[in-house]
Amino acid sequence: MEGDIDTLITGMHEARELRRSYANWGEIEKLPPRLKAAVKYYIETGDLYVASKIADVKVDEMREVLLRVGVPIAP
Amino acid sequence: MRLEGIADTCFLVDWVHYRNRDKLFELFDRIFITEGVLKEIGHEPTISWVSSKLAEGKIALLTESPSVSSEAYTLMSLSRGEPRMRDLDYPEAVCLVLGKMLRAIVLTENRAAVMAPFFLEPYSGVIVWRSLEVLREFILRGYIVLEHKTEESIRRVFEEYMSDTRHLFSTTELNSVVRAILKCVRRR
Repeated sequence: MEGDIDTLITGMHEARELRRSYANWGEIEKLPPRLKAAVKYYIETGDLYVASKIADVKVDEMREVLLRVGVPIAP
Repeated sequence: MRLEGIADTCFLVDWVHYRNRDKLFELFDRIFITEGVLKEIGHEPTISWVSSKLAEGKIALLTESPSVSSEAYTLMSLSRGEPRMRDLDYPEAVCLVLGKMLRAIVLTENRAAVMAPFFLEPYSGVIVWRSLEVLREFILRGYIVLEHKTEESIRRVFEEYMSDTRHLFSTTELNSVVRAILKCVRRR
């Protein structure tokens, strides 16, 4: 096991705040419905794999979409 | 000591953008990926890097057997029964199953996979590293040489990774890793 669970859980909450605070919501709202839903899912969960499935794109393509709308990779 | 890893897609799609990405193959003798990883990548830089490492034998492709797949579903079910952890996705569950089977370090950014050894007893012995831990090992094992044995020099390593990959670390986790590294390097 690596690290401690309290740090991990605190990190999870901080990562969500990072995703929320950097997100360009104006740009997100302009996305097509599937992509918009996927980006919002990623912001809430940090789960890139499921977000890519919602968007129906490859994982690295989903990553590029997130970065384009200001959402950092912060799992 | 011989190290082998098994990486998921989320780990690799960040790592491909890092200036020191090939140091991964100094730290690890071999990194396994499943066929699913190849299906989940679409960008030229990722495909090009992964396929070149496959050709060099640094990355090895694994086919999931029915028993691995079945165990992965069992593991997903276990994770759903543990309220303290996030639900595992199938690819990370497969990585954990194969990591345990092959005694390979699981390389992922997925928090559920990181939590699994804490909460799911059959997987308590599996080692899971994210980029945070891989960078820590780069420093501690000398694959990245610090300019000075200072907190600032250590932070620079992580800042370079964040700048290259646009992957942000949480402050608490970054501080925790930096403190741990500083403690080790000052003892030497």
